[in-house]
Amino acid sequence: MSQDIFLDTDIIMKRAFGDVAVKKAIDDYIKDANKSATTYIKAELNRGIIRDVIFLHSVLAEERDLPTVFARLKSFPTTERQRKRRLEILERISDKRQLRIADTITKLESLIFALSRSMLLQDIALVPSGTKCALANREIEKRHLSYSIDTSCTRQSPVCSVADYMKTNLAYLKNIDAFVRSYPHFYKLRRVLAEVAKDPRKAKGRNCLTLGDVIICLDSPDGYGIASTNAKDFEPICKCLGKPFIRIVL
Amino acid sequence: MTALRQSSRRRIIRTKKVTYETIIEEICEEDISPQFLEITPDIGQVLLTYSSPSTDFLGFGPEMNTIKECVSSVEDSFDDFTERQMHLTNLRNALIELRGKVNLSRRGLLRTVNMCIDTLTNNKSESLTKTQWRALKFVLSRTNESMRDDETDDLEEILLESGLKPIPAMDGIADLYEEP
Repeated sequence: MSQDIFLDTDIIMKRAFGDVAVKKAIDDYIKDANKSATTYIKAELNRGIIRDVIFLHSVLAEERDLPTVFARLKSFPTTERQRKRRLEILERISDKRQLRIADTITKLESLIFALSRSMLLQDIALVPSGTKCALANREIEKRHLSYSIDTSCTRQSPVCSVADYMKTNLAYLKNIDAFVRSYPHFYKLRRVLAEVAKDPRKAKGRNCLTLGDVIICLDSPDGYGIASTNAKDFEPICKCLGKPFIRIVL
Repeated sequence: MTALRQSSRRRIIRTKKVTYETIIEEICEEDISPQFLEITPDIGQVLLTYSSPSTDFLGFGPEMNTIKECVSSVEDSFDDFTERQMHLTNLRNALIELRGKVNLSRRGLLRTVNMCIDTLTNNKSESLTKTQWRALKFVLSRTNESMRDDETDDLEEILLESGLKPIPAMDGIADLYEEP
């Protein structure tokens, strides 16, 4: 009988965009399993790689050559992490700057199309997240030759149920808070858990991102093992919630 | 505004103005097994009827002739892995040659050529299945100078459906998305 596994965002990203050996290791492990994931992951993908490639396409469409694009990206006002990511994606797509800007644009368009076709989630059954995050339902839109996706947080939307979801699971959150006290790398999560314990509405917005791993674990159906390469963060949370954890060693 | 997700797998192929279902029915009467159709119906239909690249290339005759020759060579020697490898490399090089002569004024063509090059780069010859090869052949057969963007989307969907990767390789990018 096939194993039932619940995938986190990291595994889904590495399966498509990891190193060759990593992709093979993940595929070998999960290819015969019943794969499932939460719709919350779609929100994370929309905010991450999909937003980055659409941004890059918009910059390429405005510039006359690749050196100009690279120069602009280097000074573009954003976080260092995001800048590094975007430059690296462009390096790959332009074949280390060997291609023309025209080729790079059309290759990026093919990538955006593939992502819009849920290339990353093709054989994965999606379970609706308890957060009911509306960002997970947003799709890439195309108008003439430009693309867009609204990745703004939907905290103001009446649909956003993260506060109620946290309130329902408050007992679990308290368990997690107590359990991860001995792990220094959870300091940010603990700060957010403390705030949410006082007022569940604090789970909205930026704090929702910090709670991402907890939400993924809470969303997993009974009987599914939560598979991740990130044992450091997921294993303690799974232990608190009494959910089986599958460590994928790469 | 068009939500890309809304498009159906069974859209009309505009160049031929027939639906996938119609083509499937026509070909079905020839020699494609029902089992094969069940697996990839919209790829399976194209295999026998439209097997050579389009001749609609007024400006790129010599390049397209080379591509046609390469396609025939792969077709003739598909079962021989060594021959297949060599001819697919020739096909990839011929596509690179064509790409150098196409600019953004023929955006659909340029994107399709790049898709085919990426497909051949990402999918090694020895792992290429007959179904996938036929899908790629079909895409080449529908490639022409005046392709519209939505036609290119249809062709990319065919490649994706057959399990090919018509997108640029981005191995290792995932690490940059890990939480610090």
